Amino acid sequence: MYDDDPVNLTEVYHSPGAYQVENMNQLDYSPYLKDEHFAVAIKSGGPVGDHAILCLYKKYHKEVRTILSEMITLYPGSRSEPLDIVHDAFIIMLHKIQFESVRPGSLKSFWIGIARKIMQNQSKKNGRIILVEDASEIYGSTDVSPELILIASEGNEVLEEYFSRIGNRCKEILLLWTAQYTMNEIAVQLHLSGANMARKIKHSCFKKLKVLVLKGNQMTQ
Amino acid sequence: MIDRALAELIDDFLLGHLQGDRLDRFIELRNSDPEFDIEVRQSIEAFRVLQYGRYKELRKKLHQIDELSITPKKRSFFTPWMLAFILIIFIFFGTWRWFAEYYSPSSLALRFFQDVPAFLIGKEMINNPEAQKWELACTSFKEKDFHSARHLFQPYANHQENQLSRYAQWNILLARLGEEGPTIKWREELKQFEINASEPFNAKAHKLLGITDSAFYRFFVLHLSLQLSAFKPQLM
Repeated sequence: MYDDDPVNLTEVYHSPGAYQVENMNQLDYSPYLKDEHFAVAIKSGGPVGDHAILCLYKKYHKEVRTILSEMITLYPGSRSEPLDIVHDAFIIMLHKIQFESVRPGSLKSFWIGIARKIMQNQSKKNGRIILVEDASEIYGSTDVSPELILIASEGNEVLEEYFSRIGNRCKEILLLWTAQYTMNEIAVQLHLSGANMARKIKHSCFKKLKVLVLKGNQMTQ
Repeated sequence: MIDRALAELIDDFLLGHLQGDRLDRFIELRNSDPEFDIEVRQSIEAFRVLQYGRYKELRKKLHQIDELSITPKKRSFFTPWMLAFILIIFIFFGTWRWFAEYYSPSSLALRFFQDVPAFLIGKEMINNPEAQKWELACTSFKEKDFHSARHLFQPYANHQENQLSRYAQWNILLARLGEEGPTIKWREELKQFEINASEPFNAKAHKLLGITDSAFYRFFVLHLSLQLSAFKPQLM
């Protein structure tokens, strides 16, 4: 069986992998890197994927923000702060690359296309008239499910509650696992004895989380 | 409870690693085994929490990048326009200063100074008092002691129309230029000298008159020097 041995889940780890972005030099990337290289690195995950995500954001965020600042005026029902939409769209783009194996030609256009879709949804939801023609030929047409927006957006109280209750150690190991770090990489990051130990702790933590969610759902029902 | 292989299969599904046949078999297994399907559903719900947490952490990093990238650059005090302006001012004042010095009365006097040929005064003779006095006059002139030079050249100028007296007269005129500047009286005397003098004094006097009468000299050296001389102490 997988989870016979009890695992200490109370100890708090400080992962060296959870580094702060202190200066832009950390995110230097080769100008010869193409969007497909970023997409492959993001899909593969792990430390390389994490670095690629931040480099990709650094590469395009100003352009995207400028375009969205202008575009947002055409969607009167959407949130007034374009930065939130930039972030939400970026995260949804990562999700689609990582979990839905989407391979867009241009990541910038894909990113803007998702942002446009979010603004469009918000405008429709708020019953406002959209003042723009469909620009899908420029930025592509991407389906963004409400469920995905729920995960990618901030302020979901239920998910926030579960996430805050799993403990720091479990949080760290499970976040690394979700970011597609291998068990060896997790062991190195968290100074564990090896991949087996990492796997065992991850399994216990995930089980703990499943129980939390299950209990939460039962209480809601 | 599910075994390790199935747990890893669910992990692969959650991480998006299942594709093709493996994904098909996974779906088939979910459809055929209700217990496994429940486990998968619960895992998907828990994984949504983790994805939410991961994106929340990621959002913090994106905010950090935003803050770093909008930090205003320290503006250099010396902008290109300011540097260009300062450069133009320096070039203007430098040029003016050079012209003012080059065409100053004392510089003109020194450039046009004419020493006498050795044979005319007997410089080759040792202990020749005439030659020594002439040398003393020349030295005073070159050291810009124009007043002394004038007095020392004066005895030679009084000689009647010999070559030495022309040299002395010419140098006295230059000493007066260096001492007093190009006054009207000096200019009249130079014109008179030019009419009576032979070469090379005639040509030199003509050239000197040309310089001091030119519009460029009047404006750039005389007029502007006076204007900027009043301005210069304020700059200092």
